[in-house]
Amino acid sequence: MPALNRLTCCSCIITKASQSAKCPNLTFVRFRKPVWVKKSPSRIYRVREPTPIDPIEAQKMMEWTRVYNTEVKSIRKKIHQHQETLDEIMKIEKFETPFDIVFENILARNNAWNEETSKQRLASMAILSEEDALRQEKMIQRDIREREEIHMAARKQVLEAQEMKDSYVTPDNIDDVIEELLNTRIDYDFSINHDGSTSIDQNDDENDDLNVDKTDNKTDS
Amino acid sequence: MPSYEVALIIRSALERTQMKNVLKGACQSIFHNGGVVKKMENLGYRELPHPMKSHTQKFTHGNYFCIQFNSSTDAMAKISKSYNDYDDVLRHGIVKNEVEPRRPCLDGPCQFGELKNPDHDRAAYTRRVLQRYKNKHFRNL
Repeated sequence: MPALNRLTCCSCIITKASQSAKCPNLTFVRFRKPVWVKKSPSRIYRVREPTPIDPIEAQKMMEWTRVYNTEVKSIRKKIHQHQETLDEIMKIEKFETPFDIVFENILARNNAWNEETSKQRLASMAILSEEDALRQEKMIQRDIREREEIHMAARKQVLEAQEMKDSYVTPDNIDDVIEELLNTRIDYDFSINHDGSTSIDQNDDENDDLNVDKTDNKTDS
Repeated sequence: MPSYEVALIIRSALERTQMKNVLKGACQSIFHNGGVVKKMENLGYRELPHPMKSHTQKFTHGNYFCIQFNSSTDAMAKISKSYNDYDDVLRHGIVKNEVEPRRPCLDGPCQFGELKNPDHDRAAYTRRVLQRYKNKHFRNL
């Protein structure tokens, strides 16, 4: 356990030997027995040395504590007396003043507090209502905008369909379309480059119509 | 009506008239269900990606056709079911045609292939509102 004799403290490395000289308040816990282990015989009757007390410091401390205690005691007494006088005044007022006047005073204080809080409440509600109104307006405008976009998209689709309707296949021209279809062929076997240009593999002849015999390649099931 | 595209694989050993009848029948099923055929494409005679079995017969080559049409969703399901009854149609697959987004570099600065999520603004706004609500009401918890 090499690290136990050394400790990093305040960015400086301190050894156990130099502890008492430089940092007397640091303690090192090297090893601690568990609670259930019995005390060793050498330590059963061990008596700790009393901590050294400076007599001059002790005397000064006792003097200061005496002064402090008297001052605190006087303050507490003063506060207690003040509270007692207030209680007596309250008792006298309670018996001498009639209930109506007391009730009126309480009511006046309550009404004043109510008015103050209602002003604050109305101000905060006004702010909230403004925000709500703004939000509602934005939502309505967004709905209108979205509906207009949907209408525009639908109108565009209808116009495109109207333009292309002449090229559609109908029951009237289906024979001609199929005739032309069987005579032509489209090939999608090409690749697209990054710039959008297409390139065709010239060596791919697997699916060439001219090279393959069009027979029904049935296999025995 | 949404737009769909159906890819049909038709048997290879058919005469021209038979092929015409199959294609006509495919289009008629779309017309009967209230659809509109926009375009037809012939992708030619090709080898199938794997041997396919249809109506107790195996095939290795077929004729590929694409039909673009508009119809309702219910009609599309009926059309798909009707193609199962054709003996000459080996396989069919219906795909919905979605509008391709316009490349941003055609209108403005290039975004390097990363398109902006259209719901991002609204999601960010709802997140901010919720955070403000939490801070206001649950600050002391």
